[in-house]
Amino acid sequence: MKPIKIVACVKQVPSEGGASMDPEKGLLIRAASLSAANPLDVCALEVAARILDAFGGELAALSMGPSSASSVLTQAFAMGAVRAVLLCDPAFAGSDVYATSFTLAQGIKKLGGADLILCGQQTTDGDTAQTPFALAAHLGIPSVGWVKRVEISTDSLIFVQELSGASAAVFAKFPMVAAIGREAAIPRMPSLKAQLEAKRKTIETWGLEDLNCRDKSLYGLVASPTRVKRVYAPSMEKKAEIVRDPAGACAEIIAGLIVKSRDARRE
Amino acid sequence: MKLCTDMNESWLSDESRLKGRADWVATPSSPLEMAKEIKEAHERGLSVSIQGARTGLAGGSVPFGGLALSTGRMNAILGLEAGNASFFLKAQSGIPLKDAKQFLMRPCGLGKNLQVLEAVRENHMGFAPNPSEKTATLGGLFASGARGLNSISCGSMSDNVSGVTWILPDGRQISAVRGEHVFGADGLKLPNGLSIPRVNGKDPLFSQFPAPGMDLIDFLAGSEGRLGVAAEITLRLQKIPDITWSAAYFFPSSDEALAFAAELRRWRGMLHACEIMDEAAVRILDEGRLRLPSLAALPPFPNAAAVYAEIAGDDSDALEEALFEQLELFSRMGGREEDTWAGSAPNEIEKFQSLHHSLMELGNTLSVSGGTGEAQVCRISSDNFYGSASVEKAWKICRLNLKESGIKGFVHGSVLDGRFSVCLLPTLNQLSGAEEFRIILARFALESGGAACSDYGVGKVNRKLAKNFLRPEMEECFKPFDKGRRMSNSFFLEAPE
Repeated sequence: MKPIKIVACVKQVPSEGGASMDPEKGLLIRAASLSAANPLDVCALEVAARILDAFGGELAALSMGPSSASSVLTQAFAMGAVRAVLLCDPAFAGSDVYATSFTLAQGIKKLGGADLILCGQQTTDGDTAQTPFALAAHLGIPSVGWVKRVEISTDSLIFVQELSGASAAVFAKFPMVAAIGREAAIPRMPSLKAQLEAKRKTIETWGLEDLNCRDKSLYGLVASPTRVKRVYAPSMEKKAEIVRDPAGACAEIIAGLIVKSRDARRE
Repeated sequence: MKLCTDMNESWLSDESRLKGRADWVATPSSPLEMAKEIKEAHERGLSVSIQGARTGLAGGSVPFGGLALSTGRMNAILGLEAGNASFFLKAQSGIPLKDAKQFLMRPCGLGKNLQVLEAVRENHMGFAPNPSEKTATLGGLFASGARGLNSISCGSMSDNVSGVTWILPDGRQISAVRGEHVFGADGLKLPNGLSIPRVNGKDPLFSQFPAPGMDLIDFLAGSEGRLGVAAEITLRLQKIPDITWSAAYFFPSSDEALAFAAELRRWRGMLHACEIMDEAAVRILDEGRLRLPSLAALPPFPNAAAVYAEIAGDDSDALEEALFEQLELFSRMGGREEDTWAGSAPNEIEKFQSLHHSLMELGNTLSVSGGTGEAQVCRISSDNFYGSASVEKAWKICRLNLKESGIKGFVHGSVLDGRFSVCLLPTLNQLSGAEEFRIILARFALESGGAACSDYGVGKVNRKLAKNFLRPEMEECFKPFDKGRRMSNSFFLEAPE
């Protein structure tokens, strides 16, 4: 197989305890110091590194977010990326899946396209699992999702998908987007040298004016059809029934209650 | 307190796997309630076992009759204080360390003290000690004299406590503020009449030897319940370094790892942690990737033995230069680039730091008890501070004795301050040999001016071992606290042999 040009999309997400929700505005409040690369995007970077080990080529990492998001691109450098671009502009703020994937698509076009675009299947913050497919739609190329294994041989690349209990092996035909699941690869731990060199590499930052499409109405909150109506914690109702039966029929009574509760849920 | 008839299993054990029994349980939510329960237990002649998060490895919280008192409901943050360019966080003693740390970092703080909280964040202040067990409570960490991976640079738990509200074993309450009560040549007399005599010499087991100049807080820290219990703790916040780097260097053998670790000490100023793990420890971690969620995200370990180093500071160039130099040293000593792991993002560092605790956890699951819960076959370790003995000598003695004992186990520990732990995995037939092994190493540590049971405490698991080294004159220091009856968190007590 000839050398491959790969773009990996990496998102900065809050790490555990690094975010809370503003109940009035419905927006995520992030603490920059408690952010990390989305774990599944790191799996995608590992898959990219393995493919490049086998076939050669080059990897560019692409992210969209505030300037603090550049740290996830440094991690991409440490895992083998030769180029990293941060899409950062107030015009991109407030993007939902549709606007995010459109913006990423513009970034990829500006990068000159790619044979293979790798994304994590979903992020730990938004958790929509839709961005990879929306990105493929914006680019007009096919996609494969829920990748649980990647089989790399000398002349082929196969993505094995999880399909609710079944598997499907998809031969890669470029250009395409693949959404990588957690099982696909345990990410490598970058070496000290790779980490130190990554710190010294330059991350390119592109704003709206750097992209080919500069129509503001196509980006950010204004271009996002999703509206958060309300953010709330679901109320949990618990009802306890204490069973006291000196005759020792408790087990039977409790079994009856379980059946009743199960039937009520089915209805 | 409530009679404990239908005992919940969780009251009876901790991470040591030792199993006990309790007659009474209490879950106070304030110092006043805590004092009341302890006073009542004292009057009724009950021993008291204090339970925090039950994360201890020495069975300190496991009750053997009497009252099991949980601090689980005493988990409130009481406030932030600022003064003299210093910041302090006051909390109840039952709050887990991770919750206290998160309070300082999470985006939404409490309404009160918001301005101070903002100042804390702006000045990059935080609680600096880093015990690997983040779910442990502040009270548990104080009672066990916890140190953490980075104690050389930022001090132990005790060093970072500026005040405690303390309940004595008879229910009396005292307040200790750092600097207010310091031992003199004749001991220490407190305003409530409590008088603690001076003892000459050195306590081989605990840090709180009452020498002149010692603060009362340091005397109480690490006392494992013998002198009472902390109800509230005020933490002194320190400037947290802007940048931290974690690096693991892997070697074909622990001899090579030790030689490298010894060289790393030249970066002592910025080196915050330096741990070594022998071949067996690394093998157990590698195999543990399939068993522990905390290790599941790691790739295979690249070589047999490892040195973990953490450097920190505010000058990124200086840190990176030091790391390049370390890399060069590693290469000169035959190391390969692919035999290093490194990271500087918080989530990356956490992966490295979790190795220490994962090793403890795996040691537990591999111990011969295998969950049987029998007291005599719970996890057995020899954790000592080797004082003035050279790191090389202490490490070699640990390894050599382990080899000669024929008992399976692994060795790891801090190269910076000469604290090594041997986790023993004996068969049932080797249990007496394991005890002998521990006595040999403890004796060597004490002869070197160090201390025994220095990492995980004496608790109840190590009481037999501790009795070999107990100094009767220390009893004189304890008497004023308990009026002859002390709480059962110590090895002295009513717990069965």
